[in-house]
Amino acid sequence: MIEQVWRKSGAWPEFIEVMRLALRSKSEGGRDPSLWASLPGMCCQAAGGEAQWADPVAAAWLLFFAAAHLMDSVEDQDEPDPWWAAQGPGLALNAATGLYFSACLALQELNNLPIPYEAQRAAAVQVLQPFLLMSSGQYVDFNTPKPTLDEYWRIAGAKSGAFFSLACQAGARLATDQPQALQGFQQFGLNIGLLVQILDDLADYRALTEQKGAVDARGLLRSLPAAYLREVCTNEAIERFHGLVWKASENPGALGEIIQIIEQNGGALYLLAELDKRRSLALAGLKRAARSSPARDALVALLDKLQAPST
Amino acid sequence: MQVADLLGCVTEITLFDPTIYIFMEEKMSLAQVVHRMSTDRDFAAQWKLDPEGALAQRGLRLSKEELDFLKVGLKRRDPEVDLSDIVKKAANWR
Repeated sequence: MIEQVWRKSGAWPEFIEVMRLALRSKSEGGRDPSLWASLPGMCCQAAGGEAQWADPVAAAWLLFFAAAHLMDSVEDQDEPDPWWAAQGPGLALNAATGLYFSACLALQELNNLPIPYEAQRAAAVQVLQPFLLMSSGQYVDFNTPKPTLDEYWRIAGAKSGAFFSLACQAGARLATDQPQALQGFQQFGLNIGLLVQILDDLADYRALTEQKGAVDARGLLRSLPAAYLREVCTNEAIERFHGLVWKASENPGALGEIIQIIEQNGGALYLLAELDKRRSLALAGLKRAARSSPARDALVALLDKLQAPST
Repeated sequence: MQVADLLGCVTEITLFDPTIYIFMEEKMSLAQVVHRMSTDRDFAAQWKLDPEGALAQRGLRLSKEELDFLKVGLKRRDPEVDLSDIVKKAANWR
């Protein structure tokens, strides 16, 4: 569907190729977002519709994901992907702009679906409406280098939570307008998004735990373990933790002590508890949203890939 | 579909702010409870015998999901919770 949108758009082939490259870029940690682009179709099916009705929503979601990932990379001054390394962030922003507008065009394909106009319109709005919330979350994230625990959850909810929530709710809205079902899919998607955020945070700790590779101090200070320590530890312990994180790149001895501080203060247990809680809440949302069916089972299987049950 | 149609549709949608949902949960005390379990021997000992009593005595509250994990889910795991194990498992998700 994305190629179809580009073909009809009048965009020049060389620019389409750049957008194609941007779409193929992996998210953080090398993960492929196309798995998550199946969420709208799966939720549509679980809500009683046909999975292919959600193809425009899935295409838009994937394009928005790629655009947001690019913008994040530029904002965080990450190592550039090869295709924009030479020309710099200007090319990345150019491609991101193209992806955003491509996503809007993909949503126009909802017009061709054999479903009521109200459902088409409502699904399109449910895709677009959260973006100002997500941009707000990104703005606060940008300006909050050491979030408190409350700030962490607020930002994560507004960014990853809202993004995955829209995938699920918009897909379901193509099949149902029942408020309880839509709220259930919203809850499911929100908690999937939060699980993804926690697991992405943990990717920053690999360098620490394996004691190799570059340490991303800014990423660590924004992460859930760091926010947790700020909630429960004394000011002295927090300052010590911050100091160790900044030294970690040059001082391998700091790595072990960072892990020790987190574990001794219950940080690892807290992570496990939150991972389990988010899974439980996602499942509860799904049970509220849809009756037992192969489609609902497939959503549970997707959740299990992300976070296996503790029981 | 015109922009006016989309804007007209906004009033039909319940504008849900997921951050409100998060806030409501975080008023509960999971971080404080976990910290005490890890650093306060008296609390940890009381938790083993009477989790609800341990919470009530200190004015702490957990959601059903949090309590379920700390009472039941945790017992099914290794007693020592290791950050590097969690990071390794997280690296395998797709």
